[in-house]
Amino acid sequence: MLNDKSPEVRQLRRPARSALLDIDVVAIMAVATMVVMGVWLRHGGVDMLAGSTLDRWTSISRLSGLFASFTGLVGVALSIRSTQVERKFGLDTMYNWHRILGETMAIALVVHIWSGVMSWSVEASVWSAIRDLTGREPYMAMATVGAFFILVVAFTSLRAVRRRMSYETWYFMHLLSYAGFALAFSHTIVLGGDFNEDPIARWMWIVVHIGLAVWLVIGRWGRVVRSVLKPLHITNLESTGVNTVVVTLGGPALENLRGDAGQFCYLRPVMRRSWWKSNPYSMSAAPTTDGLRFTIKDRGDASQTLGTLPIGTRVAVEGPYGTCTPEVLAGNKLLMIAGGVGIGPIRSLLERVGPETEPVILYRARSEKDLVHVEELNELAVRVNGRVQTIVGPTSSLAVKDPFSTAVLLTSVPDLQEREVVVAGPESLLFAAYKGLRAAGIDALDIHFERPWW
Amino acid sequence: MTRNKSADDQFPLVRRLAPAVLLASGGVVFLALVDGPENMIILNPSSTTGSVSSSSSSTSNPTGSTSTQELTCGAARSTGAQVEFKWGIVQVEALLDGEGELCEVEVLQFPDADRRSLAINNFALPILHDAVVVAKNANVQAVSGATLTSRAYMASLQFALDNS
Repeated sequence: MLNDKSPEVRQLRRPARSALLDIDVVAIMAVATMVVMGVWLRHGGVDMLAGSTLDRWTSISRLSGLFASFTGLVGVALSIRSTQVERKFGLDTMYNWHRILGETMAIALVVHIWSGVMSWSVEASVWSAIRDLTGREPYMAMATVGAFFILVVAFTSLRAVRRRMSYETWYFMHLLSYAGFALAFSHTIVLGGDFNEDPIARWMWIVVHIGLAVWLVIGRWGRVVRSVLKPLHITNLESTGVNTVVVTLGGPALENLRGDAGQFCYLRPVMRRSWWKSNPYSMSAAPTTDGLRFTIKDRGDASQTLGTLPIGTRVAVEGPYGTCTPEVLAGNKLLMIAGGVGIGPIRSLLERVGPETEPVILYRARSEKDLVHVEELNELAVRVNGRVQTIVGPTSSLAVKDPFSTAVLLTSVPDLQEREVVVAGPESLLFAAYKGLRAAGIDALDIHFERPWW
Repeated sequence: MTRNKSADDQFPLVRRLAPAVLLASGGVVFLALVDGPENMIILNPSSTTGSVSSSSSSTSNPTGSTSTQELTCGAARSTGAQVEFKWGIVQVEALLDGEGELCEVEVLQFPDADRRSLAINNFALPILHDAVVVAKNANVQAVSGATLTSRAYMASLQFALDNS
């Protein structure tokens, strides 16, 4: 399969280059911030801070309201998975920022609620203010419910909380954020001091919201629909290792995809019981017109389902996503560190690099049985003057305390400092390897990996 | 180590600068068009500027009305400043009781040149009146939808209280 591709089989088209330049992104973010937060400034927000108690609380309430909305809107924009943005930053970076912005929005929202209550209670009791702001005042009942939804979403997305719930529960709760934004919108233009008396600012606000909604429907939901209308299907399914399956997807829709080794796809089995479950899996071979290959370990939930599906099942594919492609490796000598199913993207990259890279592959696994694709790895490595070294066993039982400490790394890879590094695997491995590599003097820009975002 | 920079430098200067410049200009123009901070001008209260339309309710009536309450309220009166703001001029007069506390407010002037001002003032002025009389000071919450009017009203009243 590796070297005897029949003439019709070829690489998929490589991912497109983003049309966005760094300066474009900076300009968009800077101007957006300026436009949204600037209305506060232009309406005398700073002066109000120095004014009466009422003015001060009102000003803080407006500022935090604007900021909460702004961070929330940018967060939603990131979740649309815009191709231009994804090609530039990678989906992992986008989702990490989505999480950060979501948390920021929640904090700003709490400040907004608090300062709102304080400003409305300057002339009345706190209890009266709360009653006003939760329903006596028109549009505030909806805003209260909307705020509640947003806070619930933020709370359930904290790692400690999310861990305790099933993916399904978490996902459907997260969808409440759409309702949160929609319910809160009217109070911003009717009660929001920066919008209710300034038509130009108000129109800007309305246009931004409508624009984002349209982009969301076409860009995010439209993408889902398109992927379901033109799905791939399972062409091969093999067991390997322990609780691991190798799934190959194929079909005419492959022609439309653009991707390269090192990337991942969101897979959604088109079936009644799980059509809404879409999860990311790395490709374990370079994508070709023969199909996309994924090596999936059963971790319960969706990954388990995939392993049980019959050949021919339709699977909607979104992607490929990711910036860890052969291009970024730039022909330098390589060190590839893999743990668990992280071996997938490593193996796919190995197919696509040249002999000048002389790759050293460090493959970390808990036991011999957990190693997968070892023969393929050896074959591919030898082909490009590389070698594979496995580090097997539970961490506590290893001969060395930290397999990624500088000393140990240098023993395995004496010319470590000349190499560019790719790391793929569970979070614990990513952090351990990153730490050890940085301590060994490897530049951060020379260490490539997908940042986990869940 | 050779580094393959995905350099922006390979793009022509026009491509690099044009979007940023356009976006920035657009943002600046937008902010310039947005309402500025509320500009209120306190007109000299002793001058009688004829350019102001004043078809308001009462002019000063030092002896007040016939209600027995006036025995205490109205013991002193203080005329507020004419405050010019975006929609016109507001002027109020404060009535104080025997202890020098605010007990009643009369509006001497308010913008009535157009229907919108009239509508806003019709609903906002009574609310402001009640709020300041209850609070016995000029620092109350602005009426939603009539922020500028409220601030002008409060500024005029504050002047009256300061000079009472």
